[in-house]
Amino acid sequence: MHNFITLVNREWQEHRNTFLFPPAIILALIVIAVLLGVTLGEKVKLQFELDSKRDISPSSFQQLDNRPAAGLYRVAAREDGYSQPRTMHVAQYNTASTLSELADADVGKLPRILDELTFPFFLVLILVSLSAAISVTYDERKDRSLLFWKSMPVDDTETILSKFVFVSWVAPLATVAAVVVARLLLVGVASVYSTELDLGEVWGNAQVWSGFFGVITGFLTLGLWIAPIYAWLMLVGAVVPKSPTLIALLSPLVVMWLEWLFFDSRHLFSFVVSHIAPKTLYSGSAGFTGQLDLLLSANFAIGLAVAALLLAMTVYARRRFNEI
Amino acid sequence: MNVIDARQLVKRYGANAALDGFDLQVPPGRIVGLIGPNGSGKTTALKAVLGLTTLDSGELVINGLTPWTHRAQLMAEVAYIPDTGILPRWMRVSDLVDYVAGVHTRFDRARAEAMLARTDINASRPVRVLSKGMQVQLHLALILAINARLLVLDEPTLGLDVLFREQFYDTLLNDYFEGERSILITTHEVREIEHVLTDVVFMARGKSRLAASIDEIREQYTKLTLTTGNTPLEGFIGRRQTLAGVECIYRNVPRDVLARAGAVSVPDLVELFVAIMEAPHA
Repeated sequence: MHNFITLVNREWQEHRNTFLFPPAIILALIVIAVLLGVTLGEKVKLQFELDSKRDISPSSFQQLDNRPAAGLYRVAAREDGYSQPRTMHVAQYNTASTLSELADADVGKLPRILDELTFPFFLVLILVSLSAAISVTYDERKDRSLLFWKSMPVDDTETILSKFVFVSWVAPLATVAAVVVARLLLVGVASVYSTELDLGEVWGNAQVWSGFFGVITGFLTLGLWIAPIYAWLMLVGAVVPKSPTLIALLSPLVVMWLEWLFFDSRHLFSFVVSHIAPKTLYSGSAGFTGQLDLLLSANFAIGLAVAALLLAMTVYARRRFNEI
Repeated sequence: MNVIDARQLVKRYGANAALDGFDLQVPPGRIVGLIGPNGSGKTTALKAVLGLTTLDSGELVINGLTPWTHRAQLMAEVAYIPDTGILPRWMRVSDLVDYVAGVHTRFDRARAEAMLARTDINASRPVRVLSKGMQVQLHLALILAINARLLVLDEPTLGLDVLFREQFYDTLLNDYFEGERSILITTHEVREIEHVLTDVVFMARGKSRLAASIDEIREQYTKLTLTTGNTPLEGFIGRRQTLAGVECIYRNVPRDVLARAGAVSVPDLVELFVAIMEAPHA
């Protein structure tokens, strides 16, 4: 176990900048946007007396679209069943989207907005992870450090598994932390600027803790769901002598085209697309039940079997192929 | 039991045989020089010893283990320094020490740190900013702190200046070589290592052309520098014209017989290597 932790730590040391900077940059942009909205931006107070949804006219959205993209908006929305307007604050980078959400006169939409906030983090994470999945097996061959790693008493199976665990579950931790901070920040700002909702109502509406749980289980599920894609990229990195990214992308496309040409089917295409993860996993909004459904599906089992096969092939390739 | 026991190793790349019935036996406590021209199969032989390549046929046992199938276990007792820098350039020196300490049960961290303290290497710097000489010193400190039974060196001083090379072999002899430990070295700088070797293996076209201890070589081989006017005796295995005159190398010919034709001496390894490589049936 000590070996394994050392191996995973080694991967982290090599790739930490790759996984730290993107979420840090997104988080910084959000912080800047919120600060600008709070301190410099025009604080827009929009009272939508929502006696009925018909009262929300397209011009209202037009008006909002012309506002600074980042800002803090006070929106009064009266839901059916409430005699007084309920007021809350939402910081959002997409004004129209925020308002369109709130136009449904549902303050309970805040969790959904927070989930959408998660999306850019996880989207960038996936792109970075896909790139890292190639480099964990390719870079050591290119810089010849593979010979040093192989001069240590560590077998290839353990090494490949440590790389897979790193890409799937360790590297995303920085992103998960950034998402949690961003969510806390936005709900915190909403709490501070809310005048008519008390703290408990804002945090209650935001479903903070269940949201965190969704994000954490979401990224754990994502690591398993996307496993066949990571395993494929690791195999390519362990085998090809050059241009691994190009080969990793083009070779499945060729197979997909041949499949379509000769069998008039799109099984590989569907498999790949489905395993680049559904949006619900990116945002964490699938909820634990939704994630469990994914993990109990036949597609998941097939994906896991494919991943295991590809990882076994990667272990074999790492034994066979040395430096480039 | 031999540390290395290789019998009739064959490794082919297409039509070319990198190893073509190669034999090598290294007992404990020996320093063996594996010497051969480019393309003779030295690197393939070392890769086979380290479990980095498969063999088409033959038997290879290192410390009682088959390298290809037991590489990880084998590497607990075998250390390796190759011809060029293979240390991860992105890694900090201290992280590298942590890594080896984390995965190697026979690594003596205090010893490595003591050796590094004798150098100008700053432990907080990444490997990429170290000079080539420092990288070799770092690698050597890591490797020599491993209680390995066999150390494999593949052109370890390539590209180093003469001071570093001298220091390298001094460190090797003083800090590593003791008791049952063995070293297998390949190098083109034969004169540089001649004084540290206990045994030598000349290799050509994937085969061993000579395998002998330095004592056996001194005993069996003689260089005759002909006195002007004399003709060489029959039976030499190599002959060449030098500034000193005609030099011939003989094997198992009494020196007092050779002395009648000129000056006799023990050939150095380069002279012997050239003679044997040029001899069709040495």
